[in-house]
Amino acid sequence: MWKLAKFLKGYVPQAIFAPLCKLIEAVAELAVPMIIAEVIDVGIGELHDKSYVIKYCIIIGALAVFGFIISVTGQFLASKAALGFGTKLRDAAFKHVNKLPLSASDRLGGASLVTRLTGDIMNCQSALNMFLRLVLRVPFVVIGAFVMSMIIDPVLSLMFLAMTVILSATIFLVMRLSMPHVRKSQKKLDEISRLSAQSLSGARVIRAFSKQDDAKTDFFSAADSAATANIGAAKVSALLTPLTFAVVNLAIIAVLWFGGIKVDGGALTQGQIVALINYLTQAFFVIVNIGNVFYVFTRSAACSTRVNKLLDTPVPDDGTVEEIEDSDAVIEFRDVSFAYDGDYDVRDLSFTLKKESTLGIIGGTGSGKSTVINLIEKFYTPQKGQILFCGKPLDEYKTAFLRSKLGYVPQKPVVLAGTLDSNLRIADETATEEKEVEALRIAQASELLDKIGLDGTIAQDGKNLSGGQKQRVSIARSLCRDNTLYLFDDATSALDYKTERDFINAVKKVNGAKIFVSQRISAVSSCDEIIVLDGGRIVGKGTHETLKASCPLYAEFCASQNR
Amino acid sequence: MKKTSAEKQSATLGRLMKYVKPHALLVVAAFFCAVVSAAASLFAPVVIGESVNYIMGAGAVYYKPLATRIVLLAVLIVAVLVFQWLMNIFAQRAAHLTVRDARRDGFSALVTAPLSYIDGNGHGDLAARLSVDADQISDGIVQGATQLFTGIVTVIGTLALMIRINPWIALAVAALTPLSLFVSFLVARGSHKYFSAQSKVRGELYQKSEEIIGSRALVAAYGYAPRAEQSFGETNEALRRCGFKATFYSSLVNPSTRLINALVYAVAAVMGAVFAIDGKMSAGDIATLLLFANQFARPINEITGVITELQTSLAAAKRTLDLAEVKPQQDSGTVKDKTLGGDIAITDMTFSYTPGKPILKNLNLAVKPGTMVAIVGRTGCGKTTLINLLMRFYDPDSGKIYFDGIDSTDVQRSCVRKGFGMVLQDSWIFKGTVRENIAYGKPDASEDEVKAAAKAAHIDGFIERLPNGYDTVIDDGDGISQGQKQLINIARVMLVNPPMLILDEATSNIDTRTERRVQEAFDALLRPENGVKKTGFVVAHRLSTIKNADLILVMDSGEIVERGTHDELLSRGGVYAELYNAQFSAGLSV
Repeated sequence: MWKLAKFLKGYVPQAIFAPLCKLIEAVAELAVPMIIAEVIDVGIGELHDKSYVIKYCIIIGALAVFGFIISVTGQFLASKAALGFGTKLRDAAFKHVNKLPLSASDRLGGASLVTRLTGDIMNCQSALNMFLRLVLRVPFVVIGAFVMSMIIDPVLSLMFLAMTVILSATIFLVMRLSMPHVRKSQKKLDEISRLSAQSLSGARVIRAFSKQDDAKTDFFSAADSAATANIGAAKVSALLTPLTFAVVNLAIIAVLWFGGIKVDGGALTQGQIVALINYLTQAFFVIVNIGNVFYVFTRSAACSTRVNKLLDTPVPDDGTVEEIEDSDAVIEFRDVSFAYDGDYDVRDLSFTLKKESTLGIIGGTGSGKSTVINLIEKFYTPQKGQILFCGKPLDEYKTAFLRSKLGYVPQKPVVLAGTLDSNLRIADETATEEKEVEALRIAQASELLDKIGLDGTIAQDGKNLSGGQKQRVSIARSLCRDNTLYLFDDATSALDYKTERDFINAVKKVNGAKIFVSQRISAVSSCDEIIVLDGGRIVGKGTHETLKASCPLYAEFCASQNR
Repeated sequence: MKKTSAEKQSATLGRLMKYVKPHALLVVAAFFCAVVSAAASLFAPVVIGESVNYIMGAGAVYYKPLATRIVLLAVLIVAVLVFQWLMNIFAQRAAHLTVRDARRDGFSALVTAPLSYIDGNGHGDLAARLSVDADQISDGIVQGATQLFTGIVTVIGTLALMIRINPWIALAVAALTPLSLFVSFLVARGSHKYFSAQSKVRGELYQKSEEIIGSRALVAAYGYAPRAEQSFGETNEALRRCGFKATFYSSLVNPSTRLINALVYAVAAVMGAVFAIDGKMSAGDIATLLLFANQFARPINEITGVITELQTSLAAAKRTLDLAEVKPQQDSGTVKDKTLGGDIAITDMTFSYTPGKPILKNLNLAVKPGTMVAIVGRTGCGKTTLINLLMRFYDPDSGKIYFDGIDSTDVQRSCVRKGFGMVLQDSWIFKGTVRENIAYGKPDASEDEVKAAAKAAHIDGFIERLPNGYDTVIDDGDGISQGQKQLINIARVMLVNPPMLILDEATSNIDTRTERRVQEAFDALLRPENGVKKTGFVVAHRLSTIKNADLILVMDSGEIVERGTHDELLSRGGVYAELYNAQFSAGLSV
């Protein structure tokens, strides 16, 4: 948690003065029981003077107003500091995510990254806010009340100390004991969500097999155990309030009895007894309050760990080369092997792609086709072997520069909320309109352009586009700038055969080398060279005609797709 | 407008009460305990005050009455301890049992609801009604049964006791306390505006991070990060501004109610002291009064919180109970146990999901037992709808379906469905072992049968490579690919060996080589070498896979535009021939 403190930079004065304000407020609050004791002992007991009493009560009122003003100032500063902290942290975390290599961000997981950026940081922010408000106030009220009671009577104040310790221990113990129950009931709730979601996604299959009763049995037992778990948790946590009540009242009993003896001996006054009881209740309320917000801190401790884990994920060193040398080969793989984790996903890949030529990569699901593309994009780094781009190893290039020379079209087309134009300009902010129109034409998306225009809205996740349309926009984007190499990763899977053929014919006229990855023969058959992948290994290399004769797997693909 | 929402709330309350009713005894017990514990905790300050009165000063401490008071206080502590705990337990038990019952009814309604309801509502939303929403109901019941009860008892009791000590001070406290209510109301109303602004911007920020992080490969490939960071930064800054306002304004509640309470306290102190000087009150009475003045405001402030909590929980209850009231799909057929023979006739069938937009129009079809029917056509032509009607997931608007000459509405839905083995494009895996998933339709299947089904679906190799083989627990999440899930769904149907088969793009996620092998297994199932041929319906994208069908239906806009065998349709040179040639030639000539 403390590691995140550096994001408070710029808000240090606020972060110091906020708790200070709350401290001053606490002082004002602590003075009240003392004044009341004075009123009872002097005003009523000795002087019988109404104006004396009224004067002191006006002081109480003035202290309240003063405390209010100071407290509001404190809240203001605390909110400023907390929100400033959260905003800075979010910005830094977002930038860090963008710097991470894909291998690292994939390991953390997209959904988890979003949670860390939003929910987790939000929790840290509110915990800081709470912390600034309570950090000095709580110990001060407790210690202050203790000191005040010491001033009144050092021996009786020990009672006070005992109460504080027992109270804190009680709260801690009850929380500790209820934690496993709470976790258990959380688990049961997850189970209920899962079973509900499962029976919805499987609505047709469940009905087809007439398994409604089985589904009900499963769910009923989950609902039962959720109720049992919740009731179990309640049995423990319901102890908290009554127990704290008992502890504080036992302390009061002690003060009454032993204090009574002291008063009898003349060591204490009646008013002081009242003051002692008041301090006890004051400290009691503060400690109980802390117990109530305790979960905010435990939760944020978990959240800050997750955020730190993200921020601590290292960003690898980048290369320096920012120019391309003239070379015959655009891409060369030399005995490249790579594993996401565990077993190698691609093994000993060696091939060369010449300038301005085309390469097809075909294989079944899980054969390692996309991995080849991910390695060229430097999303991942091979464990063995070397990849050269225009004669130099990939590592030597500055990553951003390397990627600016590659026209990447991912397997799953991605569009961002905005317009058709804003989506194309992701590739090049300065692309001319002619360039965009031409790119759309090559990508066989002229029809879409005519329909919605460059300013046509594209919804989040491209919900207003069909799969084929998204794929065409994604292709057109890569064509909005001039690239040395184009990487089409199964980019035509949602297009019908005719459109696919028209696209391939059109894109051939674009300058630059191209790699077509697909499991469709029709997408690769016209390439200058075709590589057949199976289980991460190259099992065939050649042209459509030679492979048909020499590579059984390729022949099998042809047979399954053509007839 | 306001009245109707209040009416709705009380209607929901009435429905909720029906679920609480079986556990009414617990609620009554909770109420009883609440009264006892609230009364006991009220008397504690009185006893403390009396005790103080027996500690007058040096040599003037009356031990005997002091001791009785202390014993009394101890008794009160024990009473509070026991009854407050019991109150909580009774209330929690009542709440969670109510929730359990509502969940059960909700889920039962869900699995018997017509598919139109499930297709027409967001799945996440429906699931939330059973999980999170239902959970909120219990919060409301617990808060209502404990806080509300004790709060009311405390306020009334405190007031009564204060009046007993001194009616004037009691009156002053009672008159001033609503001020704090009013102030917190003002603050809440003010901050509500900022809170809604904050949650709106927070939603935007969430959406932005989700979009950019979800597209991180694209962002990296095209160097889009600086632009993304700028746009994120703008939203982030907006969130800082409105988040600050929301946080600050809402944080005003505590100091302002504290201020009001402190002022009330000061007034009570002045009045008490003045009365004491006049000899009308004792010091102990002042101590008691001040304790009461402090605690009088608390339940009132808490009750406002409880009421918001109750409102949220009622809103949640409405969502869960609405679900529980969904009418089950009617199933009045009299034919229950017949094994369908595969003779299907459809006459003049029309169907629409939304009135006025027919998906199927005047469909007529006769299928003899043992026919393999293939259905082709563009997306949205009505192929899948026809499957939905055959499975009796939906019923036709007009026209009839006959199974073996019996009107389909006379055949129980479960009986129709038993007749079909169905594999859909969207495969379904539930959390359980691979074996349980495959044996879903035949839980008592032997090990050999399960393995044979897996082998027929060409998924046996994959399963054997799993860490625990057939005992590996799988889930609909990640871990296994779409294709593998589809193969498990296929194995599930292979195992049951049903009299008829429905394959709706059943091999769409499988690579073409495996597809071909699975196709052979389906052929063996439909046309066993030495057995009776089965009726089958196949919807396929790739036309090469259905060439050997007995009957090919070409659909367009809800109508069958062509029907016949592959050769007949090709030679006719119509829609089918066009479709087929486009696929075939494109595949070859590139």
